[in-house]
Amino acid sequence: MALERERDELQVKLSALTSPERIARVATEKLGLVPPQRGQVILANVKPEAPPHGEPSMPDVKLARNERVGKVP
Amino acid sequence: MAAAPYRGRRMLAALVLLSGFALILFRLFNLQILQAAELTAKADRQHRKAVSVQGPRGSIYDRHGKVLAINMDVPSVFGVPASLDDPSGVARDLSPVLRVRAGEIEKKLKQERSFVWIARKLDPEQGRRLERMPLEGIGVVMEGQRFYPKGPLLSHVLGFAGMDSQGLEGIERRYDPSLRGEKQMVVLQRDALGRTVFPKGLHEQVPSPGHNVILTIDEVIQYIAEKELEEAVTATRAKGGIVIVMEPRTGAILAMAVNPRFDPNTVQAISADRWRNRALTDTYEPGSTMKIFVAAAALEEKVMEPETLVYGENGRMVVAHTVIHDHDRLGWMTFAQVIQRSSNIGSVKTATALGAERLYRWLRAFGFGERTEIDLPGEVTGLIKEPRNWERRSLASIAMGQEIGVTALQLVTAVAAIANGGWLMKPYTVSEIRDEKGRVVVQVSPQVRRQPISPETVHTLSKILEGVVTHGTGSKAAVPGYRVAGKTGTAQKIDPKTGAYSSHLSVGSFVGYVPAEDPRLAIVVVIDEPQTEAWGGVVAAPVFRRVAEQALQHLGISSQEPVKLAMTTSSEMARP
Repeated sequence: MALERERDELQVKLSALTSPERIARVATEKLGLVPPQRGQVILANVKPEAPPHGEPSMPDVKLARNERVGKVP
Repeated sequence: MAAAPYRGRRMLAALVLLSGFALILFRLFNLQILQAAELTAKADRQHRKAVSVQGPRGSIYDRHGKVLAINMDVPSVFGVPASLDDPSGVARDLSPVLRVRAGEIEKKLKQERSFVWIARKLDPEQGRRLERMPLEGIGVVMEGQRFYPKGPLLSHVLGFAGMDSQGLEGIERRYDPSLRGEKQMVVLQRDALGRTVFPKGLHEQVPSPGHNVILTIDEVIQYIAEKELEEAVTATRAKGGIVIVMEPRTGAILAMAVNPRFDPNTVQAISADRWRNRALTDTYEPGSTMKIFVAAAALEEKVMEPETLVYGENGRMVVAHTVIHDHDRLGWMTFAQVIQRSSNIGSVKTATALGAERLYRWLRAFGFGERTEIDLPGEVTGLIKEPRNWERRSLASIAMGQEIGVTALQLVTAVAAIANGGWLMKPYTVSEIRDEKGRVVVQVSPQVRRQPISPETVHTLSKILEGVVTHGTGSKAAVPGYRVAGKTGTAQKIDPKTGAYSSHLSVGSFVGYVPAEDPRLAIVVVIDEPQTEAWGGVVAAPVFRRVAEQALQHLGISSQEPVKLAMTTSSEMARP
């Protein structure tokens, strides 16, 4: 019972501490971070195929529907 | 002989004694035989006490298992005044732990009662401190308390539970039978002084806890919606607002934000008006967003085609002795432009070509005037009069989104039907119910209500709605890198003082979906009584953009178009 009670208590604490509102507040007010600006985040898909002839892997940066837009070093 | 007088006395004494015995025997017979059943039951009632014990309430989680509502046992402290020798001293000791003035505690402890609550539902740390204090006549019991660890997040959807663990609003109310723990009656014994004797091992007989409810809500998207709505309401000095984010293919609600918010942890201090989930309990006149459905009906009935030319009457037309205006002096335009420029006159002409009966039938087909049947309490049907009750101006009014009352939920559900290829879905907020061991008890599947519109019409209409954002009134809803389709709405509100349309009270809205070619999100934004600007394209469309942009990123839905890198150039990338 005591352990269950402690578990519930920790769950409440964890849930409150991981609230998106609190994380955003700590990030911006305490750590001085800012939300990513437009163009700073690009969602990329990594092609699963092996590179031909043992060339070093250079994952393609892809946008949706596998349109190739470039390579990252 | 002296024996004679004594004999008489002996006889008398024997008679008295025998009568006494006979009386006792009669009484015993009466108690033990005649009244036995009744008296046994009475004794049982005095010695036994039945109390109801309830298992803890189930928890509520978001779609990723994040806790949104949970029960926790917290300490409550009571006193037995009769067994206290020094109430003043005890009160002084308790005061710093309970953070209550010693005088107040002392007053309670001096009452002539066998039991008094001193403080209920304290925090666990206070309970631990109390347990370390050896106080005679003071006891601590654990009581279940509902916690909403994220504070006001999702409060209008979650609702809240009362002191006795009963769901009173929102999910807590709608799913109360599942969330509520099992109830059991436990029989306790009482001693001769009426004190309860708790049998050993009683705490091990706790009844089963309630089931856990898993929502379709994504707490991050909910946070994004609430934050952006709050900022817009503050910036426009509006009375409030609503944002709903829905998955068009399933009808699952990802976020439902209502502003102003409230904290369900401190609900006693808040007026009932703040609890109402206005996304489904309040109707408003939608204004131009209704033109989407007038257009859908006209295209499906082949009354109009995108290239059909409509004359805008230079922005002024008389209908049923009243003048209808457009925001610009529009001349000839295509039907697609009627929607993209949000022409009232063009929309009225389209509705006239459809006729009252067909327009009414189509609006009903999209779910206006009936409940969406979402799994939340308090939903209203909205208001749409039958054509036989229409006045001369009604057809024109409804074509402009007046004389019709819709909820924000009805609007986003109807737009989701256009986004998903023509299926009107039943919106829902709960995806699963699980028992305490994690076994699925109920699994909710998406439900189609009907298919009001064909995929071909959807395709044509979607192109027109994309034009609203690329070169129409909804340009501020554009999300760079994604194709957005939608429609703005600006509706005057009825002034309660005059009963006529107000010149300064309005509702600005934007409803749409993204990415237009493969919609993943349908979003409605409603800003109620903005003070800075009235136009939906100005007050609501930017909120749509900001919510959509962040939600798409959070869900990992990649852009369909090449995006320029902001931090590095291609030459920098080529360097080793």
